[in-house]
Amino acid sequence: MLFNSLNFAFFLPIVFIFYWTLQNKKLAYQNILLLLASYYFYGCWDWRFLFLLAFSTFLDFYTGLKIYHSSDKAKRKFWLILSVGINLGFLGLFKYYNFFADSFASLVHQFGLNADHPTLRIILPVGISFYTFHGMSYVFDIYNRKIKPTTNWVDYSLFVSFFPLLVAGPIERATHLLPQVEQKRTFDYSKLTDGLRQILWGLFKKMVIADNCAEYADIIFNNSDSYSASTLVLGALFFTFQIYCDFSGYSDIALGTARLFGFELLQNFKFPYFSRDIAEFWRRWHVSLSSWFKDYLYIPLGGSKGGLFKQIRNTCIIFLVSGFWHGANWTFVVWGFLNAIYIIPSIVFRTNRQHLEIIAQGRLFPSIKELAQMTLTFSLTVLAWIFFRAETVGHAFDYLSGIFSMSLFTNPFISNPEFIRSILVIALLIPFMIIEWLGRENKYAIETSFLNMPRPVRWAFYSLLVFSIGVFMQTKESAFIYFQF
Amino acid sequence: MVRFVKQLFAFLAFSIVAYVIFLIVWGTCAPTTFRKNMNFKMGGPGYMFTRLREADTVRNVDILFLGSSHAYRGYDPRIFQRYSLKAFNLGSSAQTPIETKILVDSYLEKIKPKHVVFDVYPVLFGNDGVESLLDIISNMDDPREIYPAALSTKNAKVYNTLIFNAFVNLIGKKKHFKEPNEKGDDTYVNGGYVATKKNKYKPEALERNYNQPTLTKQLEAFEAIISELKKRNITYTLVQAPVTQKTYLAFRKNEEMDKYFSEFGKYYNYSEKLKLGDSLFFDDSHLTQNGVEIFNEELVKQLFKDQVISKSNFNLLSKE
Repeated sequence: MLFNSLNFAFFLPIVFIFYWTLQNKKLAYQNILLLLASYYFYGCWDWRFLFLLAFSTFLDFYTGLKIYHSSDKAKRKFWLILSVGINLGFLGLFKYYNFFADSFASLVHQFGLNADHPTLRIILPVGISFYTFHGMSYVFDIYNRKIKPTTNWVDYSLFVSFFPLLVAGPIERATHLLPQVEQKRTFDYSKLTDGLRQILWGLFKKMVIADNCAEYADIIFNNSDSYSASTLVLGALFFTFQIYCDFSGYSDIALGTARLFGFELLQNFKFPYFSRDIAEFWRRWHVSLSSWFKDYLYIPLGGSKGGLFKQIRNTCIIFLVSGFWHGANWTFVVWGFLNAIYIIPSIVFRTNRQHLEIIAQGRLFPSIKELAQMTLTFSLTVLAWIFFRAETVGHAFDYLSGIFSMSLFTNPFISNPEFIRSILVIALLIPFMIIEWLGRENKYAIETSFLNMPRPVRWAFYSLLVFSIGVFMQTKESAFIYFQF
Repeated sequence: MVRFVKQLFAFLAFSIVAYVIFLIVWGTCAPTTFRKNMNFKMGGPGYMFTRLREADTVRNVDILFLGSSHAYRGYDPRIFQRYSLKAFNLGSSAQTPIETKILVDSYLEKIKPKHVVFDVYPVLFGNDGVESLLDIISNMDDPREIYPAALSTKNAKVYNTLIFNAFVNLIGKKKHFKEPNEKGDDTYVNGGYVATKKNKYKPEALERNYNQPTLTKQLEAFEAIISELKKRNITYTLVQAPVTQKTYLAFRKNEEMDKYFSEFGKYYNYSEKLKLGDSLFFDDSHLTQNGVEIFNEELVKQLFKDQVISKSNFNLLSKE
């Protein structure tokens, strides 16, 4: 069930009504309802994988308790390794088996040998990368004595499988979400309207901006050898906005939906394209994943302690693993590596924590210097996205070499009359980016932007967003990119 | 909670009104190219506006042609007139069985044909029919027959066009619209046919996907049309008008679909029967006027030969 589908438009109000009619009953009833709804939501994709989800949940719940109750260090470690091993084993099997088998066969083939391997027809269970990471963070936190395990199976299951975050995050932490699951939620009018507002903004980002950018990004990337350099740049830009609006749009819908049930999820995007350097970009892009890697990989590896070399090594490991987390393809690994290269200078010159606040805070316009920094960071990001979107690493390099040619200075709309309609997408992107800029100090762009205006104006603006969705959406449902990860 | 529900419903009501206003402004002011999910176009290359107005006046025809552009560009009533057959062509652009069913429900009673030639292009059985539906909504006077089919599409483009069409009807714009008889190389010929002056083959620039999976709803609509014809005791012939051999062979299920159509009675596949050369087409699937002459002559002969048409049931004049 997709957030941008009619099914979800029926599912959400039904769960919402039942949920709040139970508010005066026991908290457990609300949690059981949400758990059932979450399993139904997940089962709509493929009910068979509900068993995998349930097993993964049980594994972490059980090992969490075992770790907590073991006083012996070796036993604690055993339960931790068992949990992490099985979790990563599933992830490896479902997500990476064919990749490793193919890569091995290609390597052997380079030496003139033939390595037949059984390529399994494995379906990637939706959201496996996300719920596996939820569970692992819980076990790690118990092992590190940050939290006590819950003894309530329903509460823990809901923490792992709460439907707004089940299939594409944000990757929650037990320290943040579990207490909310265990506490009574009260009906809060302003919270609910805020949730609806964020859902609307997320739908606009996904259905109007991302899906329309995708139409042209797909055409250009799929036929990149037949287009001019300027068209290739256009394609890369379309993908840059597609991936941002697709994923941050999903996150907005997830956060808004969770708020309708009284939950606050982690903010996943903080206007990353307004960053002044790559380090800032990564503090603003897919924050829940970046912080997960920081807490459970970077810091255990030593983090920034132990000298410059170790810090660079650890950073490279994080980015490579992050790239690989995104998918079983070398393009993601190269994308991760490229970002590591981008960030190394700021580590060497100790400027990686220079820009902690949002750009031009309290001001309407950025300074010339900030604008230049933002443009450079954005350009580097666009370049890296080419690897993320390309089918193969070779395709990405061909795409890049296509960009650096004389046809860079041609008009893409004249050389490709079929792209004339894409001007509409650009026309939509301009007001979108202005709204994002004006709302950059909020949690999401329209959080407070219109709250001080008279109600008719505010509602007219929201209606305009609804109208834009109705008039510019793709007429076929399109899945969110991050569902595949 | 009560306050929240009240506000929510108030906003929904406000939003619906605002949506309609925005849509009317957008549909009136925005250039056609940029009207993404609102495809309202009176007239258009298929002359549907003129054809439907003529269909309102035509009665008791001998042959009624149904189908896509293959029909309205491929069956020339003037050629059938030579055999003293009064014919009318109710084809429309990309018409799939779903839209054919709508037209059958709306016009069969009025036109009262003795025989129906139903052009069946199997590729269109894999099409959702939305584009053709929009063509009909835009050009029909009162598209009430369309509502059930339109609502079942769950398609924003269809809903937006229906809303805008209601506005156009409200201000009476359709009553004052006059479609020119000549558009570029095309001329509307009485009887629903569109004749073209184009006589050179020009392949389409973009590769099309001819192999979309056949849709169950199209098969159901097709079978419902056949049932309707049978119920009304109207004889029919299923015909597949010729397309270029390249286009014909690009569709992988020719044999399967030929077998399927044959189950419903007389069926002629003229891409197989005639195997016309590219010089008789002006694009990948439409015949030039010379091509239409050859195809229609063959079809009439075939209809007579099989006694689908005969003196007794058609009261033919001297020329047979």
